[in-house]
Amino acid sequence: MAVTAPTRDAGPPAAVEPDVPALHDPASTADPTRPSAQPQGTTVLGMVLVLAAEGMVLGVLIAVYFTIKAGSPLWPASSVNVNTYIPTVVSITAAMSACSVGWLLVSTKHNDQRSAFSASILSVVLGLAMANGQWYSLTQAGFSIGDHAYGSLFYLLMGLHLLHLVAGIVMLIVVGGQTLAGHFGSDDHEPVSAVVYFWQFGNVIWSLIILVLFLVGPHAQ
Amino acid sequence: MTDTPPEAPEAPEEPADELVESPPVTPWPPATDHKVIGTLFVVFAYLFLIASGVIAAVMRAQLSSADLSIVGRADYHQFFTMHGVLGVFGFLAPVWIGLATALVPLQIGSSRLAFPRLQALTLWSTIAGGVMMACSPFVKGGKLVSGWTLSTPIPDRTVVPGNGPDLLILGLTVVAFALLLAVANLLVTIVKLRAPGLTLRRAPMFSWSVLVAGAVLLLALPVLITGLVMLFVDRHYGGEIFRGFTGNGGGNPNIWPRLFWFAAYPTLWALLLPALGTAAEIIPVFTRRRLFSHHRAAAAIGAIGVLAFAGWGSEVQNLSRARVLFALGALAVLAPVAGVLLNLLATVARGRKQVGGRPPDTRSAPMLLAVGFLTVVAVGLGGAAISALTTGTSSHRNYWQVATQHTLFFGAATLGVVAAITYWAPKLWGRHLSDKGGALAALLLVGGMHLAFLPMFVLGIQDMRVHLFTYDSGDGFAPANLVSTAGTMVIVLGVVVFALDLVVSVVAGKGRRADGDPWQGNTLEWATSSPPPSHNFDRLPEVRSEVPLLDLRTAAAAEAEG
Repeated sequence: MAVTAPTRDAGPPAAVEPDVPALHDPASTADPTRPSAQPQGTTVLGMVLVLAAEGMVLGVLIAVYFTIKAGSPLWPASSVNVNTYIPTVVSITAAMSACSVGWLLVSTKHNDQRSAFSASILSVVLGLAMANGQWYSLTQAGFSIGDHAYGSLFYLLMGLHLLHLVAGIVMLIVVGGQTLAGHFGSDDHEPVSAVVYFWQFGNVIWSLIILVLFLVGPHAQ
Repeated sequence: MTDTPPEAPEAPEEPADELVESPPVTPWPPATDHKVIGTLFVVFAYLFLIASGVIAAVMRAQLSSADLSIVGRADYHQFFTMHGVLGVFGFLAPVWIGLATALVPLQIGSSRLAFPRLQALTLWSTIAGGVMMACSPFVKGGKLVSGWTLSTPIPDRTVVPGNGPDLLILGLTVVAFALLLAVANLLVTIVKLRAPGLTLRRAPMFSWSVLVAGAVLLLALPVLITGLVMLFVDRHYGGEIFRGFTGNGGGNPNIWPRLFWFAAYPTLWALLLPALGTAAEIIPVFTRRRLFSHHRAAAAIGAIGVLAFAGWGSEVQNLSRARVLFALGALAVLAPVAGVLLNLLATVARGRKQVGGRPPDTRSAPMLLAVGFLTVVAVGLGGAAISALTTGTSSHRNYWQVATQHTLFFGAATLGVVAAITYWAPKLWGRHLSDKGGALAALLLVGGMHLAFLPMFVLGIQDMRVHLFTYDSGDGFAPANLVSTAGTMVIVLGVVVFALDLVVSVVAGKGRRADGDPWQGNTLEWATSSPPPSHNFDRLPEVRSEVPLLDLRTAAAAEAEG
């Protein structure tokens, strides 16, 4: 016996009265095997929560960076030569990718699948260029993760963004393929929105890294 | 206090269990049924409770009398580390995640979690990480002697060599990451998959407490994960983040304890929240009274979640400048906890009586456990208030702190877990636990906790230090330690009795079969069969208050009267 309240006698369904609430049948709205069965905003909310957690990771790394920097007589270590050329190129690429994923979202919302697919391909290419540039800058850094605290945090911050970038590229490839297969349209584009939020958050991470590592200058006490 | 619903809600037209043809559910991968995943989480966590309890029993045996040498100093400190790590991250966090995974969709009238496969991934990741943690002491060079805070000298490989610390750090990282994804899933589920009419203000207290605890963990666990990654970089790749200033570009060893407590302090409070939510579910049901003030209790639980971040520095040494602020923060979080406690007491004394249904049933095991929980929380609150006042002094590192933390974050939280399992076992597994077994477990656990932890407060007054491995007979610590050890053994006995009850009643199927609503509950999980079908509900009553099933009974009673 599931419900202890009295049940009505069997018979023809009564006419709906204004003060008698209708019954909710959850089976009619939920099919866990189909992503489209998700209530509106579920995927995006999940993505926002993941990004909030990642924001805490970034916040911790930056807080630790400035705490150690504030206590160090020389920052960064004397052997470090901060080169801003490659990071600048990556930043310009990141700005371009911010536009291309915006194009992806807008064209998806307008049911323009051809443009959406092109935008996702362009975004993947730009993402690969950023990953390549970032990897190159790590190989050319001239110090390793174990050389000093600056090196450890430099690699961790860059590594966080690189990891985010690779995950974003994989997501864009998946979304691009699904776009080609006609999964999304003006009424159903939540996974695209989630991936675009993810990508734009990566650009926020990159901006903060640039600010912390390259724009807030070195010091010597 | 919640208003009476404006109109009598309609019951489902037919009993749900007559409609349900439950498909077979497999407990092994790739099972995505949240009830199976939650159950496996609970089983896994219970094994870690037993492991952590056995370690505690050995430690307490070592301290039961003066000048004992049952275990050596290094072994004792290693036990100290593993007891804490396994207790919090092997047992307490996974068990609440598991119970929430199993119960939240039922409580909010959903057929599933938001991302079912993700929760299966987090389960198996948690198990993998837990096994790594449990294996770490058996690896060569695995002795971890710095306590569950993993403080210095862990970062320095020259002082703590070997791969054991690395394995523990990796295992803990995997567990924390899996739990992070699991709470994100639960949060999305609660926000997005509630039944129509079930607004957040009407959310059941357990689900609400999971929502608040989940939000706290979502912000706290990434801090722990980042700290652990930095620790691993320091140990494994020669990083210098937590090493002292070594001339050209060294780091700062004071950062690790701050990061750890920034994460661990709110985490501990978050792991008490579902216990408060459970008590707020059980007490109204068994006293047949409405919760004195649903909205105030919900607000107080929310306030605990916010203020849990305020007192983290009270556990960090050498934070002299902010000492007063953190002491105030540690005090502030106690106020809403006391508020929930008073709300529950007021429910018993002044709550509005339910109309219709059975008479009060205050001798059932869930109610006994809930009342015992209240007594333990009350003691813990007193201890925590004094503990907060000693922030930054040497007294903060003596047994008073051990007593406080164990009373609140082991004793009360664990009683909440046992109460939750006893209360919801009929729903999840279709079988009641034994009445006598439950009462005996409640007696052993509540009695054992008071017997074990009250003497620790005495030891705190005597200024016995936290990490003391043995003591002289002249120190005067022996009597209280002996009583505390006896209490610990009683707790272990209670844990074993409860485990046996679970095995006999549920696994062996000897327990009484449960109908859909054996306790005459108030929330939606009782509106389906026990155990529920894989899709949870065939029909739901419309929700017009936070107690939809009570509304149905009230309407039925009114109809019967006239």
